[in-house]
Amino acid sequence: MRTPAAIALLALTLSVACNGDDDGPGPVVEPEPEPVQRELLSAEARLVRASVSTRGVRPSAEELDQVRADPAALEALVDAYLADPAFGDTIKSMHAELFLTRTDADNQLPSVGLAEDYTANQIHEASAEEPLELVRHVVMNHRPYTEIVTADYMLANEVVAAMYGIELDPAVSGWQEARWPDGRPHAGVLSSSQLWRRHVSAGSNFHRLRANVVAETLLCDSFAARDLTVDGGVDLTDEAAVARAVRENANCVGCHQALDPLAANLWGFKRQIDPRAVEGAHENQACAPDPDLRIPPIDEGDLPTDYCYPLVMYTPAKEDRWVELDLRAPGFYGTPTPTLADLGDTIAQDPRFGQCAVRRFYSWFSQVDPADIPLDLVKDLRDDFIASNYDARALSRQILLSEPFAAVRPVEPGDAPLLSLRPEAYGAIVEDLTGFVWTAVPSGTGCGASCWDDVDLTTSDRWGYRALFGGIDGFQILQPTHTATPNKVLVLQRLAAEASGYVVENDFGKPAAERHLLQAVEADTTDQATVEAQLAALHERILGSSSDEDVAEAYGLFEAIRADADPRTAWTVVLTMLLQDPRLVYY
Amino acid sequence: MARRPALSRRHLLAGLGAGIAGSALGPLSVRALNPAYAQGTPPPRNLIVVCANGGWDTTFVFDPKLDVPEIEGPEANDTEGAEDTATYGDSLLVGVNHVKRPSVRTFFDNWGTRCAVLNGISTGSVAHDPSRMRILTGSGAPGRADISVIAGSIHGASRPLGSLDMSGFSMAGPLGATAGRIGVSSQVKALTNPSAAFTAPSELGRSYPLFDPSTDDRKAIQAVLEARVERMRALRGGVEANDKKLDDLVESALRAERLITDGSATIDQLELGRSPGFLGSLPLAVDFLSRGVCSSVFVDTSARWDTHTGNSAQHGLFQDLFVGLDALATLLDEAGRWDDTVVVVLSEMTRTPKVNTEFGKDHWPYTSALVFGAGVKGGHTFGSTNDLLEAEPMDFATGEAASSGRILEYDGFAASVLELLDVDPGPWFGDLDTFTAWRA
Repeated sequence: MRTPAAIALLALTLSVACNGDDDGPGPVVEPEPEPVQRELLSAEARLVRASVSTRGVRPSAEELDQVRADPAALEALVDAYLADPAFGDTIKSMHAELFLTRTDADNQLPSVGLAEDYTANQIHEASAEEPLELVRHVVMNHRPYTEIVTADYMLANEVVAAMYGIELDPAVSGWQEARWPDGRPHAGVLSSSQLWRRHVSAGSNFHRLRANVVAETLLCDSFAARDLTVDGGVDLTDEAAVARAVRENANCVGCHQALDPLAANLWGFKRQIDPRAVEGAHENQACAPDPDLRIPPIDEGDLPTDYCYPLVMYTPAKEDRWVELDLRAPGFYGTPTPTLADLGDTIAQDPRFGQCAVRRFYSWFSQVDPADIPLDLVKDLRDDFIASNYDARALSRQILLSEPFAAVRPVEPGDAPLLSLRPEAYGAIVEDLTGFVWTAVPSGTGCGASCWDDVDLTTSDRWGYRALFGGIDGFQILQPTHTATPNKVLVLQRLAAEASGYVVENDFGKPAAERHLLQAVEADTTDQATVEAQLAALHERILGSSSDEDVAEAYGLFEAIRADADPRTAWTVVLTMLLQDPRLVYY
Repeated sequence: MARRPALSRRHLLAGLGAGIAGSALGPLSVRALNPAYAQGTPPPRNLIVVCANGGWDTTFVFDPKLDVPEIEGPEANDTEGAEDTATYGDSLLVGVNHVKRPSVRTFFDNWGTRCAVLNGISTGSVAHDPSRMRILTGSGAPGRADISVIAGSIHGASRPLGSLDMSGFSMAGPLGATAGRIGVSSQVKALTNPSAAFTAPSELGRSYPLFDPSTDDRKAIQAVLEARVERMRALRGGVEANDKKLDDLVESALRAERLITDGSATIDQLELGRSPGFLGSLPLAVDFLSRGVCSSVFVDTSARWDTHTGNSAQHGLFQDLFVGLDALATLLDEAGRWDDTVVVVLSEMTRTPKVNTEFGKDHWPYTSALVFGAGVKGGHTFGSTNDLLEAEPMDFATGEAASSGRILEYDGFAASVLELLDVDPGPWFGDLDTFTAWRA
């Protein structure tokens, strides 16, 4: 806020400037600011960024040496990273943030009936990963990304097969292409049981929430982002009145004219399969849901046995229920889509699909909000994406090798800032460096059908620290946090300490050649030169580089701890520090 | 009216103790640095947000509509003839039922003259997540901080945490460095007390923790890390986006250390592997505030309010809620915290005026809030809905219905809560009209 004196001075200046007096000063023109040049990261730093972004681990020493010797080697290494199976895991994590299916803290189906031999971990993994495995399959097999909504198959493992009665090829182990057994149209993730178990249709919602999921995740067009007012004069218990309102009421039509036809594609799916209904069904010899449970009664066309494994999530006979309710016919923004497969095909052809995919991929890698990515950047990427026949790995490559992604600091809209380490990546990096996997056994005795086996604490929200580290839990925490928080620091400290304690004990119990990190010293080594050489090697291995300042600083820490303890403890403290280095936490 | 300090983050962090290595980890004071805490400024206020996640039916308690035929409230199945209303103070009108939810009357008998109800808040959505985001953050855009976090970042600036989330629903947005969570299974306990960890797998051959740095070890480590942050800043800083991330790292480390030293006494009361639940959260929340661990706590009622079938379940839900609120009010009273704590009880939406074909109710984009504590004008119901359960325009200064007034939208509600806590909502909401009638 300018002071009155300043305002007066400004007014005087402008007055003089505009009075046309030839003797007065000309208008005050601010010089055009110098365009800020985007400074690019070194080839090594770009390699670190690409490696962590794709595989969740840092580059090896050999890979760093390659780009030091020849920066042009970066491209070939990025290609290799994109072909690495770990990139498939990254693709799944990206889409888990989109579809919110990794919800181990909620909606967990029980280990009962045909699934009683599986642990809660296996049930959860099967449920959460079913739609994500399809996306991985499409991307890692170089299929057009559009296939995520057009695939005429699904992906299943033996647990999914048991839960949903899917026929598998016994000659193939793990996840494989299969088909839903219940006559549902196949349209990639749109046909996913788990996706629609996560996103339920309650009460008289009539699948509109699900329709919003389709629009929001695949088209970046959220109906729920719009403020709305509901006309209190509409009797919501009168389905005919509601049907009229969503067609005719000015407060309703704006959204419902597009939302309802989209929703009408999904009538074949059950509104929800509550885990309590499944548990209750198995306890009841007739396999009928427990009437005392507060769950929706069985819809017309459903059977009590639908809630027994194998679950029945889709009933073709219900597909046309929208007719009875006098709702709009299935469609996609004005285009009729008689079947779910037609919907998938139509989505794939919509320009918004490609654009939205570009925003999602760019946002994932750069940690820039999708809405903040400049339109010209999106357009260029989208044009190339379409020209490549929707090759998601080519899109990823283009992003990873782009200058906005390589910015030392963001100066233009869309430039990537310092990138925050994701929880899965921190766990993977620590395992890669130390051999330590942070697992625990959370379930005690008496857990019945909800016993959890060993869990990886970096990828669990229910028992572990994924959400506390800044990830999402898919249920309550729906947005990741791309900066440091007190919880994140506590997790860093704890995992760094555990991994350090593990690797120091393990390394000193092995010959040097078999150790993870401490190859140059023994438990009683104290001479400065040897210790400093080991410290330099640790910095190279863990952070990818070492400076005299790093080594001197770390040596000071080592000596300070050793003075009160012993070399073994000193190495543990130093490693605990290194595994929290800001160059690890941010990349 | 308190604002986040105008000084740079780096000056603030310097004031927080020049890093752990150089600090005595004693009480931190922002007062000396923050002009907002000049003499005569009201003392900081604590906040407890209680969220009835899923959509409560306001006609059961806050907005009774017993004689309105267009609305099917709890009286629709009142076979005992127990549904009634009760008035407290000047105008606080609530629905009561001595058979199905007696705790409501008990609560208001004890505290009614110190409570205010605000009806007719427009939430702008009928979907859970968008509505919750709106009512808590005052915005329909993701990535914003909610009222608990904002208030905590101001009033808890000198505490280990500004805000603590015991529910999982709190949203920290850009203020993540000031906020903490306990985790769905109270996992924070194993982070601040490594000996309380889950069982290690048998193949590890050892128990956790495999290494537990001492306080001096942590200080020494942090001194090195802070130096490295500054070297990273020299290379990658110079723009807000990157500087903020580095500042957040340093601030988070300071707060994490203080949480270990100052928060463990309360955190150790959590049971690893279990959520404390609603009733268990309440004494912990008061303890966190009383010990100065944070200045805002967010709790959830741990109940399923989303009664699309069998809306009569709301009786039991409100019964449990008000058992808890009575306990909370008592705890605050015993701890001497009524004069410095505001409790805001809310839900992201209410339910439709009439029941559906499954005797449940669906979503309705209005809601109510119950507030009590410091600075609250008790004994009043403010705002209103009409006989179609739509929000009515009101005079924000009086809380009375007024055709010339305005409907209180979710952004105005959030801003008004911040004002109730003596936090200037301007930086977050701009020049927005706020509801002031509930201020004592």
